[in-house]
Amino acid sequence: MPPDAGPGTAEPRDGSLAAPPAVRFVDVTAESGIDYTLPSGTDSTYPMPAVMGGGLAVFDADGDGDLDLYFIAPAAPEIPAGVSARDARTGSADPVAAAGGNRFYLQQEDGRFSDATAAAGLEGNGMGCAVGDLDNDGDLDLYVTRVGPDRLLINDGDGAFADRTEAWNAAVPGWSSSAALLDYDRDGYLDIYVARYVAFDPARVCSQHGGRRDFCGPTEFAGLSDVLLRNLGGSGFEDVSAAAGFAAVEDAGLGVLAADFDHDGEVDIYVANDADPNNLWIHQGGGRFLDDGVLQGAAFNRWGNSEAGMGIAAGDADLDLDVDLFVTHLITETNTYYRNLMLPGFEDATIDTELGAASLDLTGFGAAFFDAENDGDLDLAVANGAVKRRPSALATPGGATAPFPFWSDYVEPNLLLLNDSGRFVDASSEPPWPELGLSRALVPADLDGDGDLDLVVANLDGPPQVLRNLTIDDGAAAESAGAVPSSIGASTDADAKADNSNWLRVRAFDPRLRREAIGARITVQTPDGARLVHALSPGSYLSAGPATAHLGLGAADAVQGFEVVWPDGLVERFPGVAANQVVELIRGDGRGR
Amino acid sequence: MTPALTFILAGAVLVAQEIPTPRLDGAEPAVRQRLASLQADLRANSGNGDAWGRYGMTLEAHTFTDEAIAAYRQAHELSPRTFHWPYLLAALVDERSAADSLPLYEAALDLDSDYAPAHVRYAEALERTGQFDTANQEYAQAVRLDPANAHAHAGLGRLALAAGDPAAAARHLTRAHELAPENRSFAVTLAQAHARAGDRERGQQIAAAARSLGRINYRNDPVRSSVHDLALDARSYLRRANAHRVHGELDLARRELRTGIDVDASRPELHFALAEVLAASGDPAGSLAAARRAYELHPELEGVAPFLARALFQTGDLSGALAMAEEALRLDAGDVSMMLLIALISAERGDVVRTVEVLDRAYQARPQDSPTREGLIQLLSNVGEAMVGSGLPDAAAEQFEKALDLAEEAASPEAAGLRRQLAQVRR
Repeated sequence: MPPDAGPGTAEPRDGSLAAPPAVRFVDVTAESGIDYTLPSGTDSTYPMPAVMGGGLAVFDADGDGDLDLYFIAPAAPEIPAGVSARDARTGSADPVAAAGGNRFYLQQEDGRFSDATAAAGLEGNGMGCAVGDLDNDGDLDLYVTRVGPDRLLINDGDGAFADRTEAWNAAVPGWSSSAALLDYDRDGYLDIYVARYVAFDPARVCSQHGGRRDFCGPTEFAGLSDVLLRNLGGSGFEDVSAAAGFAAVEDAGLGVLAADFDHDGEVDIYVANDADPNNLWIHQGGGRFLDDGVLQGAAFNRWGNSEAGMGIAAGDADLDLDVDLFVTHLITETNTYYRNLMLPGFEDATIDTELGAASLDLTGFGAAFFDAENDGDLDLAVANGAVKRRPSALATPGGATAPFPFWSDYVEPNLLLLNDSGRFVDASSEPPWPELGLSRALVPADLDGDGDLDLVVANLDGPPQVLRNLTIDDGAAAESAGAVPSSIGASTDADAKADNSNWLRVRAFDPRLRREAIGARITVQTPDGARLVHALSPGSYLSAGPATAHLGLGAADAVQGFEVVWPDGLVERFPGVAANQVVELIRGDGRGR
Repeated sequence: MTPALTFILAGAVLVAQEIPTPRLDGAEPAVRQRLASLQADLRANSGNGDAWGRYGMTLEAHTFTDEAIAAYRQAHELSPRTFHWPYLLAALVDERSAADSLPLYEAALDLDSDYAPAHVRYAEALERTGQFDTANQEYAQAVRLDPANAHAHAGLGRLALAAGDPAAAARHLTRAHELAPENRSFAVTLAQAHARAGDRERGQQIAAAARSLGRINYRNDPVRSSVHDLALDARSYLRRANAHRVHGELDLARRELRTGIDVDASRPELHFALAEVLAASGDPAGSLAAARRAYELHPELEGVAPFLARALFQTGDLSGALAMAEEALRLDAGDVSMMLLIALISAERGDVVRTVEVLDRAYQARPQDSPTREGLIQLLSNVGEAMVGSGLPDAAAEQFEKALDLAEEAASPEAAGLRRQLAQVRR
């Protein structure tokens, strides 16, 4: 899309006769059945976890084929939003908005969501979570990070969870933030890498500009070393952090992502650290990792500065068949795009991709590369919200007030950045993007199963946002000249797609493990060239999403074939398929290379 | 329109120009007086560009950025031949938009093309906007004017690295590193250039050495330094220090705070902020001394007494820590963290009565933030275990019950273990 065109316009792309599809998102939260305000637990003492939390998982909890939602709140269930015990005593609390704690929603057949928190055993509080089948029994389990011991919640198969933290030795102490699942030892069981933040001291008082109290930053506290939990055959964990090389590095970790960045067959780990240099843990084999972030150009930005790393987006943004990285940062720092050069190494290509300017005045958290228009390249969505009072508060569109008055100096808009031949164009001018909030986790997922990626955003002390992508609907409406559906339940038949927004969802399944092959690298041959996708749970910030890869195909109505590099190194090829379907690539069913 | 008419119309506009006035809530008298004096000067000489410029510098020195930009704009319009005004304006605008700063840098360099720091800043703005070739020329010009300008060498190195010439990058960055060995940014980029050029070992050596460097970015830029030196109040230094702290620039924060203390040593918030920065920098002795000074100046400054109590505890001065924690609790009766510290010290000294008493007080306060609650649960559990060892099962059970109550309330995984301990004690 040319830089002067806003979302919704349809200009011919270079080298293509077909016009790109429109990109519209509509906030369908109100009609989705979600009636939740995610409580931060903030109060007059400015507790730091309250401004950093706001996690989210989008996953099929009950195995019925649709996606369910789990919101993670910093505030404990007993604390109403915005009220602490201290404020309650002193009478300085703001009005109670809603009960605290995490909230779990099951998606119903009509596409609406219903609260199933208690039935699923998912009460409590925390920071973020990771999702995966940890015991290889065919259902998805949860690992919830917290300020305090983390929790392991094992799925019984019907969407009810049992706390197995103690039995599995999974209670990582301290302030854990994001977690990533990986099978680093290739034993078939998913291990957990837990990024930990800082040794938070709630008694520390921080102020801003000559005395006005505000949230502390990470430099006020010592960083914590990260933790690697080795899965012992689906029945427990062993802390192998020291042997793996993580225990000696104490940084303020927030975002984490595991992938084979250098294509050597071993899974690596990237950690976004807040004010500390980022870590690029390259697996040396044998369970040992080496932080090579500095020499590989992924620890510091172009200027040699460490930044306030929050969330991570990963994907092949430049279509050269490797994993590039995008890290979100604090206001006055740009977000940073690290292009994978496969030297091995990365370069800060923020300037070349024009990704800097839009983020300079915002504090980014959750971020995701996703193909918003199904046109074959990866776009970006970024969730924003300040952690300290902004130099000047932003005006709220339409005169509405911030969800909670406490945050009026912190709220910010989110961003949609569309990929235009390698340069990103800010397409955030239309609702819902300019709406102000304190957004944290962000996950793309096809909630309504219509073939385009919707977005779910967790907002502190405000309702979450379920943003329905209308790409397919708009295409279908254009074909039928009918009305554009806008409710969550009005899913369009996938056959009635837009001609220029074909898609494919690719599930890499290992029947021996009875689960998706997390970490599998899938090269798809399309009429426009090869495309790389991964079976990864998009981690972003405090969040987890479906590991099934989504691929936009534009005008192509079929792909010619797939090559899968399975996590254990086996390479298989699979034949091509028609577009607009979910294709399952089953290990062992392909042709060996 | 004739030049004379243009001049007259411009003058008419300028006369009508309002003097940008910042909100001075909490500003110190010296700052108010200085700004008032400059404003009076402006009212008497509204067509004097240098008066506007001096006002802008004073505003900038006290971190009134929006007002400083407005004043510099006016100064530049009225005194278009003075280098300082477009240059200082460009540097401030650059912090928000590199693209908008470019014509201002160009205007400044038209007036004085021999000032190397201006070429460097202009080059950096060009680099940020993707104009790499022009940026390269500007860095090279800066090196010609001032061969000792480390930032100019570093710029050439960055551009060479991005252009895929790591050997050239290493040469430029080596020079930058030699000129400014304290600069971590130059060191880590040099390490990367060596690795990219195939010399990983050299890269690793430099990267390892860079770990001990703070985030320092000193520049030799007398024009901008002259602005900084105009600050009259401690608050400006505190503001700048806080901005550095947010970005992890502890060395720069420390320097600002120490300079602020030189300006006005009577401000407790400066000493307290210095104590926090020194603690975060791994200097507990310096931190303790700064916290003591802050406390002497203002014992009731929010957070200083608990900070000092913890600092004393960490340095092993248990008596001092206990006295200070008691004082902190007197100032804020609901501070559970201080209750825990008192309990911990009392337990170490074998004062069981005081330990139990203060733990009960903490339990009644029911802390809701996780670290404090987890700490309290742990302490209650430890005391319970000690009582079991002393043959006091009933008293032990009471401690375990409280710990369990808090753990269950928080859905903590500690609850299961506490339940077992409680059951054993009851048996």
